[in-house]
Amino acid sequence: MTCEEAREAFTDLYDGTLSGPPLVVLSQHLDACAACRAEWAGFRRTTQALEELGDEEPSPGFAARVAERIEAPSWWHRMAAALVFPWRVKLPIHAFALVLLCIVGLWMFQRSPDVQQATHLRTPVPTERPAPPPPAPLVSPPAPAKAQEATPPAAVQPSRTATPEVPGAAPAPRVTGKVEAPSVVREQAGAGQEASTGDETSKPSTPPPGAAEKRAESDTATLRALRSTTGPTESRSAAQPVPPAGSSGLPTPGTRSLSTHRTADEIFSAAATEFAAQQYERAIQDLQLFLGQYPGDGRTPDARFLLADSYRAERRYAEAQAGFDAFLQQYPEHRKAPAARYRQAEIRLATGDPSGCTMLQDALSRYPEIREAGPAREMLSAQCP
Amino acid sequence: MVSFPPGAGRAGAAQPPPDWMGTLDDTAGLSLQDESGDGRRTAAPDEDRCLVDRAQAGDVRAFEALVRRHERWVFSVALRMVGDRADAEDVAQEVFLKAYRGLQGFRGGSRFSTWLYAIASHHCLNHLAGRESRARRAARVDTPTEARDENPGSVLDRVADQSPRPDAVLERRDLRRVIQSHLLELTEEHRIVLILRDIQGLSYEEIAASVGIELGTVRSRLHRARMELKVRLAPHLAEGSDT
Repeated sequence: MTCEEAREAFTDLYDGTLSGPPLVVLSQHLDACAACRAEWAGFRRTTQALEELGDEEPSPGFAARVAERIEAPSWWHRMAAALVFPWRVKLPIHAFALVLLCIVGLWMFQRSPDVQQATHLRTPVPTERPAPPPPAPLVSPPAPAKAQEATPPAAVQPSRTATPEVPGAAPAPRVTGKVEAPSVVREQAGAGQEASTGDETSKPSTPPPGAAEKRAESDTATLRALRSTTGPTESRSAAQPVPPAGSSGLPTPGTRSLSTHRTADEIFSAAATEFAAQQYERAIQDLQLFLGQYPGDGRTPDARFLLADSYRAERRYAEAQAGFDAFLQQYPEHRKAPAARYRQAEIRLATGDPSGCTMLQDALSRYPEIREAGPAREMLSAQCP
Repeated sequence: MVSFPPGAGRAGAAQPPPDWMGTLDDTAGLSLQDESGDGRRTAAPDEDRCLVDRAQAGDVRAFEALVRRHERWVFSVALRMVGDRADAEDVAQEVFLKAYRGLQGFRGGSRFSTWLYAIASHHCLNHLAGRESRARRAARVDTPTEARDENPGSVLDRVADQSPRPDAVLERRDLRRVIQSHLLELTEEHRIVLILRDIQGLSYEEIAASVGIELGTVRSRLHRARMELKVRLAPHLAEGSDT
């Protein structure tokens, strides 16, 4: 055995895995070789020094720190805990937010009357706003200045300062029955149909020649006079809408205004425009609505005159006659009172009432200068021989 | 003709050693701690088994008890491998955390300590490989690696000119430090085998199972590591010194 072979067997010798002849040969070599014996001694010192090292103690609390790391939540647990509150915190916050939202919503509802009114409306009907009507056809150029001059100034003042009338206070019986037209009227009108309340099919199919033009001229002049005497909006009484009264000639709750809230100015302006455009049905609706919602408005006498005149234009003579009668009874000094007297006479003539001639003569004698006097004279000569 | 019992080099042999061995024991002066011959890890396997069962059921306190039973040698292996106490504590903690996460996979086919040795060995080697890689990237310097299977003789020749100091009697504390520093000069593969065998006292079979190498490789690496370390420690372990 060489020294290299002997030293190569040191590990086997040290660990006790060498036995039999190799162990005998190695033993003999070590007995004979001082160098290998010294090497073996160094080998043993090294391994024994290693064994001497032993174990080292970790710092105190090592096991506890390991357990702490084991029990520490993972990064995604920590992130979830940071982003999402626990339920015991989240639920009260959500409940408080819900209550706060309800309170704010209720407060906003109470502060906005438009929202409240919208909630009470059942079947909103879209309001159709007609285009501005073309100028009414006039037989002769209107003379508004003359009409203005003919109106007694004193008659204007009471209407502007008069205490608003309560609807229904005036005895204005509602006329719902049919009125038989006399034969004279039927001949003049060219039709013998009876006048009815709103029955389109019962209206005369052919009006007398020139009647439409005359009526349009008269209506336009009437409207112009009404408009010219109504002051600025700010000067009118700020009457609040009240439920309509059930008196004669006054409107029931309108159907066209259900969709939106309309001011008194809007309704009256729309009615006047419709009257000028000879859209009397629509004018009647708006005037009824105006009188029902704003009974204390300063334009109530004008609205009642226009309403009665719209009935007359629609040949709803019974309602027209009741309207003018009530107008004259409540506003005998109104600037439109002379015109109303002419209208009363014309309606009676149209319905075959002989008293119309007397009333017409009386009106001509009292108000010979107003615009209605001209047509009245023609009518008197034609129908009251 | 002289017959040697198994483990002839180790103290505590059953039969009296030959003269050259007995003389050597007298002059070495280094007492050995463990005389069991088959490793120092003599913790009761039954007690480990009970704690492992509880830990597998989610009892962290039971696993903490397991940590206390094995923390010394796990930390020691890590310290001998990495050389720094703080670094060794981190490595040891990671070893136990890995063990806890993989505890459900432990079926009890082997002892818990053997299973834990395997985790510790691989984690230390991976840790050193990662640290070396990081250091190499940081330094941007390619250091020549020592041949893993370098002939111990060549190492011996390389340090042959280092004449031992006559008064090289080191204090035990200094000797431990010197041994540790020279341990770190070994390759990781040699170092782990040397630590598991000569410090921890594992058998060849346990080392092979822990590191994942053949028994022959265990013997080969162990011998080369011992021979290399013998050369390096020769100046500090003078014959006749009684440290």
